[in-house]
Amino acid sequence: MTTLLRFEIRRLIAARTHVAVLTILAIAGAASIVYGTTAMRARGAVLDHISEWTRAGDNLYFETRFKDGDELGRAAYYLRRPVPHRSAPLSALALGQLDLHPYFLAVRIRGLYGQLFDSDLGNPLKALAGNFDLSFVIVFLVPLAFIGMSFNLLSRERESGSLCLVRASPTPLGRFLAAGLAVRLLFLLGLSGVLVVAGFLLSGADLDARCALWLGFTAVYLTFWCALIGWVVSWDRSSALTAVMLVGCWLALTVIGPAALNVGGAAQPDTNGALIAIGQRQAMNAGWDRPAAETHRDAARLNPLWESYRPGAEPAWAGYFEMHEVGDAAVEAEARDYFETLRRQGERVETISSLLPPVATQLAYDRLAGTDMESHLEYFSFVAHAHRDMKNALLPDIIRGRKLTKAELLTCADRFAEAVFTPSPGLPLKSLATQALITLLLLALAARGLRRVEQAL
Amino acid sequence: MRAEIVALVARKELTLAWRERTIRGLGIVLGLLLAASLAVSWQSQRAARDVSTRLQSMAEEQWRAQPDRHPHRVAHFGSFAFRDRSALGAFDIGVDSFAGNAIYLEAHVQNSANFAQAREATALLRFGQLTPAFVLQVLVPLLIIFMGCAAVTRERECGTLPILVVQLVSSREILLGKAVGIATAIGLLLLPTCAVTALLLHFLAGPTPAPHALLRVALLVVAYTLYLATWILLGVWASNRARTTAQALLGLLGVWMVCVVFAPKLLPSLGEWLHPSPSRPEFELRLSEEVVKGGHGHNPGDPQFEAAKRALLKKHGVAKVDDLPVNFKGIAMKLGEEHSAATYQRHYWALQRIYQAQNRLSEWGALLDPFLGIRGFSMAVSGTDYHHFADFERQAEAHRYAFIQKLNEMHIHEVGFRTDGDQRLSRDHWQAFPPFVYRHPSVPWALVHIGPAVAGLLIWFGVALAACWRAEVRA
Repeated sequence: MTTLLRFEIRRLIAARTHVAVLTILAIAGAASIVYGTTAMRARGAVLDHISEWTRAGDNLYFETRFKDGDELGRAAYYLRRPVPHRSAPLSALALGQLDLHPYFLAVRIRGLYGQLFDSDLGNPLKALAGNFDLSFVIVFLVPLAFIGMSFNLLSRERESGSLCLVRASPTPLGRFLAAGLAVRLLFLLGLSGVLVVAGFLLSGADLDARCALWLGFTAVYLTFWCALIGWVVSWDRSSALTAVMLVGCWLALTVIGPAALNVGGAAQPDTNGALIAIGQRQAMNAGWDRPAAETHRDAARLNPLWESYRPGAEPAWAGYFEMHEVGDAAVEAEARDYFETLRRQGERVETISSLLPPVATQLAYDRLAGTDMESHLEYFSFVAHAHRDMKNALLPDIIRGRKLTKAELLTCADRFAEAVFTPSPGLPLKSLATQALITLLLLALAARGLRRVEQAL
Repeated sequence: MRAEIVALVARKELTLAWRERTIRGLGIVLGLLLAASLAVSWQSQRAARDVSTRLQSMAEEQWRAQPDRHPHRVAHFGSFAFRDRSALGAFDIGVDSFAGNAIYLEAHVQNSANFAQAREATALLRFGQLTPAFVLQVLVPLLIIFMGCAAVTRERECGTLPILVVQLVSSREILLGKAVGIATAIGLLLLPTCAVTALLLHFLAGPTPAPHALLRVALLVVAYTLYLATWILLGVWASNRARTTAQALLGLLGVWMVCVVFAPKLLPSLGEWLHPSPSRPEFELRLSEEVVKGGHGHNPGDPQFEAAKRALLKKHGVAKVDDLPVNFKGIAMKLGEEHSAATYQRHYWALQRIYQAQNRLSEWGALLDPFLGIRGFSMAVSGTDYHHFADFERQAEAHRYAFIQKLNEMHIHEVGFRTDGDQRLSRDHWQAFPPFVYRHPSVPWALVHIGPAVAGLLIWFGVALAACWRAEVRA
């Protein structure tokens, strides 16, 4: 067997196209790592300045539009607390949905649901194109390269007339084909492994259990493709037909299947973010048209801090923020439902997509990096906490009608540190087990197919 | 070149395509996929339009249901602009899923377009969306490649090519005949679904159909015909050039991969790298720096309004603002809004220019990649490209500015300066405000931006045709 492997390795290195494919793959992989680390570095650079920029922006208003003795309540209308979303270094290898969600929000103590859904500035055409990260290279391009290198494993022998020679050797044909596939798998696994480790090192991620899992998923995924290719090759059709069938499999698994699942499994949630924002606005503004005492009663029931406030005849900042408290509470349940629907939708997709290894592998990479929907939902609840903490810290002084000097105004952001969110990535072990099982089944199928080729000839 | 010979070669190619089980099977699968994608896409497009229509009318209802209020309170209550999807989005969804669906319109500030569908979707969206345009742009070329790659090599491998040549059938007749044959097969396959698509778009366009629906369909038919014809001609040409079918197939698949998988992914990233756009916090800081230089609308005593105040006092011959026949507090609001809106527009345009520069690479890429050509053309004619989204943002801002300033006029003329704090205007005042209605841009407007796409499609078709025209069939 070792002689056979050595022979296949020599053949692979001698084939110019195979070397070219591997070289292109290596370049694409390196480019993807550069892309990912550059994108993450750019985000990091923005986040490094967040506190400074937010404060500078707020102070512009304080400097030009405020004077000594202005109320804290009025300042709180503008005052923002930055909540940066610091993703893990590993995100550079699987950006997932990072670019679709904000990586920074600056919350004011006004109604949460009027701010929570704000978007980053972005170019929709770029979002449509997606990210050229390492996960894309492994999930989409490596299988294509595998197909390109192996589709004519059997047919080329027949078409070039060398099949008789192969059959004349004492090695069974099935084993001969298996050796060819194994060598290709080893080369691609080696290349992917090097890329993954390089990616981990360059992105600054630790070489820990996550790295092992990432490599594990890569190995299982490429073995899956190896088995699939072996099985299709064992049908013993012409080179052209085998190539078409394999490209068809690739399309079905990476494009058509996921798109169909997207239609079937991920229907739009019944509630949507816009409905929540509209509801909040309506409930908050209703406060202008009813007695302040009523709003106060509702607010005090929602948040005991309001109990010390005594609404008077004159409009007060405290009364204004009570309206926001009531506005948020009016849509609270709806918002919970909405996020729960999104979470369940993600879970459902994860379950049904375990039958599509490309999707399952991509989701696993995203989970490992903390760039999936789960992390963004965590971020939203983190923002809600940061908002509440800020509000509760300011309320007693706002209720007292505390006045600030200009110097105090310019430093009132000191009361809050930026609230930094770091996602807690998961270890999708169950998914790895499922994928391994699917791969094993397919391997058995391929092995049977390759044994049969021998008999059929 | 003799037409009857071309027809004869074409007929033979068509018969072969029909006889071959794989091609027939693939064709049927593709036809079904096209029909399914249309059904699904139509359904989801209608659902998206229903939601935005429902929410838009909800926002309008809430607007009209406001009780008597101070006009500036009404301005802060604000309104929403929902993006009405183009009916042709069911054919080609373009950037629709990745662009914000709604903008909250209020006094003093310009908010971002939020609630993009992509933010509520799962990771699956990133794998692509099944639309008729996707099937035609990505999958049908694969079928064509498979049919085309064997067109000449098969004859050569079977030894029938010399027979054709000795009967004085010219190279041109052979290649074009084969191309016509494949084109007929593809046409027969696509025709039913395309006809249904056209009918659906024409008769069920929804509440506000895009102007010139029929013209759009006609343009799409022409462009897709050119695009698919290019692939057919390239396929036949490659089949003639290659030694074996497998070689032709591999070459064509390589071209397909570069055009459809690599380039569309790489060029936008490259564009972003060449023309970095500011982050939102940075953009907002630069904006605020200029906004605060203007007067603060809520503060009529702001020194920025001093000149306007003096001019007014002089014009009306009074000494104090209290004595003016108009409410100076409203004037301050109006002037403040003028300044902040103009500043925002300037920054917004600068940002748009950066995005346009980023996208230019993908637009001009059409000259090298027919896929980028058809994608750009198809999105633009379907009303779902980047420019249409930017147009929605601009229309929403124009609507916002108009109604805020109208409310400020009421503030100026109908609310007293001394009674400003307590006075409310009857709710009748804003009942007649026109709701936000997105006006879908015309076809010429859509075409202005896609010169490179049109040129790319024509050039590629021309090059492929010329290649087949001049090719020599080697027996």
